[in-house]
Amino acid sequence: MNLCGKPQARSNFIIEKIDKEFVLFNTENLEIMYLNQSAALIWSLMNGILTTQDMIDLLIETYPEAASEIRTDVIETMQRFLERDVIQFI
Amino acid sequence: MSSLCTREVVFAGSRAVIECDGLIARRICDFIIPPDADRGNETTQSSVSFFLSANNSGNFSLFQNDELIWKGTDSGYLAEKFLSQLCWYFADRCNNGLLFHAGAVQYQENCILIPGKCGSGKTTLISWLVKQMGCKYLTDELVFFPFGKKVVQSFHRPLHLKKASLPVIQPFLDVDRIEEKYHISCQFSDLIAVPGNYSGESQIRKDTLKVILFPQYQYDSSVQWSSLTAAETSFHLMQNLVNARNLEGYGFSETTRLMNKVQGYLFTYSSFNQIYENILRVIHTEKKHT
Repeated sequence: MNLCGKPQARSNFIIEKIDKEFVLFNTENLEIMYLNQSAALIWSLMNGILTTQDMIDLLIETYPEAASEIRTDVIETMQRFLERDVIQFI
Repeated sequence: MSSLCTREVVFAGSRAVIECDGLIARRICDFIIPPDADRGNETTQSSVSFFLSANNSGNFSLFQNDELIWKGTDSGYLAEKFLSQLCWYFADRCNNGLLFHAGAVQYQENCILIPGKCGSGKTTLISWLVKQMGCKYLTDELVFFPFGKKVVQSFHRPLHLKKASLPVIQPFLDVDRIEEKYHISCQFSDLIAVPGNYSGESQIRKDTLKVILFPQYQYDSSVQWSSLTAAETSFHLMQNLVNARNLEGYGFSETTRLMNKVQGYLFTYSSFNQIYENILRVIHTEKKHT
């Protein structure tokens, strides 16, 4: 995965935040997705400005105790988002 | 008993008027929509008519809005076809609330919702909950949450048991089977049956909904039991919203709002012994989320 890409969520979603988790509804294919806390946090950072590497750095700065898992978590989550076609890189 | 009858049922904003001609047609109607069933008195936005006929030669016909939609010689299949058309109509027209493909039972004051796709084991689990756990039967098919109201409507109908579920449910089967009580053949159809413990209620208070169970029966599997977060519960429940296409924003926000005071559980099982302790615990569950 190109860590210099700037991920952005596609616009065809209705998002409901429940506690610290998200449920997404894709209005094009009517699929529903559940995001746990960490996936929801990653989703929240995708603003089309931050690169994937920026997001990893920001999360490591915020949660230094989890630094060893954060890089893998972010990349795997991004890959899942790409597979489900819920994000695009700009 | 006259062989002619007319019935009316109101559910989820629609009205159905059913006319029957012929003794067996009337028996089917009596069975599916008992004469003393709560017909509802809400304002309706759409209506449909059904006509069930049975002649002395053993031929049956089903009309919907004067159009012939089925004819044949199996009375059980007529019952099953009529029931499915009725449910389909209610789901197709409903736009004034959330309509879920779900069963429901009542335990003491609380309502337990049991959503699930066909074949997930909803009816089998409901039969067991009614017989073994002392729950009252509400429905095994449709539950309606009208917008802006504090009540939930369940579509009152007989249990619709798949023949494949019989080995599982046989030890707990405490029902009047349509074949035995109403002398209606089920040679080619699934079994339709009345549970022993009807609630008698078609409307219950929304705030009595405390627990949502998502069962998945799987032959010979070990038990897997998960408590769900509110978001996970919403995710699973949304997949059983049958009238989403009729609702603003697909009813997504309204569905998630239901999660406020509800605890969801997802489980896979192959025998009731595996889930007995967990079910016993959750049906006594009070509010989990605040």
